[in-house]
Amino acid sequence: MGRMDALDKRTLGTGGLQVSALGLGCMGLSYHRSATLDRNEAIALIREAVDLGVTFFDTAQVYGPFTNEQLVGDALAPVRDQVVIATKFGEVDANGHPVRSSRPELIKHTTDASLARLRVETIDLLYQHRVDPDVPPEEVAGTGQGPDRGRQGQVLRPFRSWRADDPPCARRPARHCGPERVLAVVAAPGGRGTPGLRRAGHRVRALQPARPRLSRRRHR
Amino acid sequence: MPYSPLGRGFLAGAIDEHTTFDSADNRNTLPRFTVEARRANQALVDHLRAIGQRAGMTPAQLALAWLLAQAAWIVPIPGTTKVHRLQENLRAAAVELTSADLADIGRAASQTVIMGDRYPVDLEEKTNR
Repeated sequence: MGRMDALDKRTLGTGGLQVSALGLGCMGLSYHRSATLDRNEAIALIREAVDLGVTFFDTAQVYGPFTNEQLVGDALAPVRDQVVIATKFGEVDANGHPVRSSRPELIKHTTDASLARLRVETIDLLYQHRVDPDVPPEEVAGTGQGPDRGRQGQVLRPFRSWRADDPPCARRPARHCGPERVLAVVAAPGGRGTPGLRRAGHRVRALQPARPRLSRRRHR
Repeated sequence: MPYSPLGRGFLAGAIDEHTTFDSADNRNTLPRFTVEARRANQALVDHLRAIGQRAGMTPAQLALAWLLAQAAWIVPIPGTTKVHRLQENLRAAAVELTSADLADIGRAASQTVIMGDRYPVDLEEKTNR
């Protein structure tokens, strides 16, 4: 395949966040997989994806912990203004120890460090990795917004995505999350067969009350 | 944003009951990746392969194209460590499945009983589903 500069764009949410129709999940480049790459190879693969038209890259604090964010940050630094980077909080504390916490202090603290690791001033898409039953969704969603959203330089796009498996949000998106800010993250649908895929699809639709009618037509 | 849109690699078609994973690979801990589950779930890959041959697509491309066809705001995020797989995946965004293809995929998948939960109990609990 030659250079692909025409990979379609799609829009996440209604905030106008435009990304390539397929993103690159970066976890397996350095974490939780058998054939991880050495650092230079991983950077080369991410940059190859950029060359092929991918503009959306996903990582998380817990991958490593932290090393996957560093990898993504180093790989994308030269093309920062051309790409959208997503990362997730809620599974590790600032020292990388496992937690299940979305306390606002932890979000702010660990996200500051994510900014440095990703070598960005803005995290384009920040989302909750696992639900914290002790912190209400609206409190999680409110973290990083408003006047006290953190140190100078920490600007979180007013845009949140939510795991589709977060029941309060899925049931009451308008009240808890604001439909314009809800983005569904559906779990491993491909491996679940159609019943799973159907369920995932329904969940997504449930999270998108203001979406235009679904169309099977591809938009060009 | 479907994550693991290729079923953690399974739908790429190269993993079978004989595959061994590195000790750091978390698929060792997932019920859907036991030897028995991989043997049983191969049927879905076989279905996709058969449909794909007609459309000139690989199982992975079918899976991604199927997802992309579900709604205009679906953005799957497959991972890979291989450039040729990256290219293979991205080609899925350049094709449009026919309604017959979509129906065949749906039928094949609904006829396949998927063995093994996606997560062990402790991890599933963390998803609050």
